Amino acid sequence: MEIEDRNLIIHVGREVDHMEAEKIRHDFEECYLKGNIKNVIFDMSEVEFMDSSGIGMIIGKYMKVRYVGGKVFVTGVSDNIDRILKMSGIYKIVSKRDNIFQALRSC
Amino acid sequence: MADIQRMSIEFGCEPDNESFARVAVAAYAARLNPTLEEISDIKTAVSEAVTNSIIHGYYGRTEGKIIIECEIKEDRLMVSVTDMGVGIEDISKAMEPMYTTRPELERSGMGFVFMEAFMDEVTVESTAGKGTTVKMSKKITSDEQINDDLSMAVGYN
Repeated sequence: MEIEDRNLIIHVGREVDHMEAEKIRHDFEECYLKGNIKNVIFDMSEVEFMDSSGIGMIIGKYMKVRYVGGKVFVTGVSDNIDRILKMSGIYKIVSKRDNIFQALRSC
Repeated sequence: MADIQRMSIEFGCEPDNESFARVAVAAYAARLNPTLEEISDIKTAVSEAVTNSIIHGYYGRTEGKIIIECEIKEDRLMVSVTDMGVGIEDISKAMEPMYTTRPELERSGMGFVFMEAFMDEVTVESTAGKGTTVKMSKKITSDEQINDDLSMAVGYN
């Protein structure tokens, strides 16, 4: 995870299941307490597998930052992961960008 | 190919067994020549069922067995995931989208929704205090073209 200004970039691992989501939840809490975070960018470029744990992970961050007017982005989404994200309806609350740079420009 | 071929595996409820479980079922299903999309569907659905067993069925316990049984009938894959955990009191409530009893873990409540979306049929049998079995099936389209391409790529032909 990296912080740029008030934007937190989370590099998500290859397989987003219960374990990976828990790891990210734990790391996020540490970063969140330290920094004055507004927006969250999930870099999904490495992700090959995802189940509903990934949806919970993204919704959880959205619930946190929306109180400070923050936004949540997903970037580097493969076709397969896009299919799962679309099906979950999560694009109603988070936006997709091609890469981290583009997401940072939208923050 | 025989009409019925079965596989069963049994493993403990440690969370790191989730990835093993879904990969094992995907490897079993490979004989039906599924498309990459179908493999992804199967892995996700199995992951949902196993995760439920671990975080709900065996919540608060350090030991517990999960049994996965697979069967192929013609072009159909059948998978069942069984635990001997707490069971589900109200199955229809548990299957409602966004319903979760573990919000503190940022669970989305979408597990059964995903299983139903990615498999053709999902049924749940559960007895409070005894455990839960989730049965799922999916017709595999058998991607001959991709299979031929793969065979050529690895030099089988």
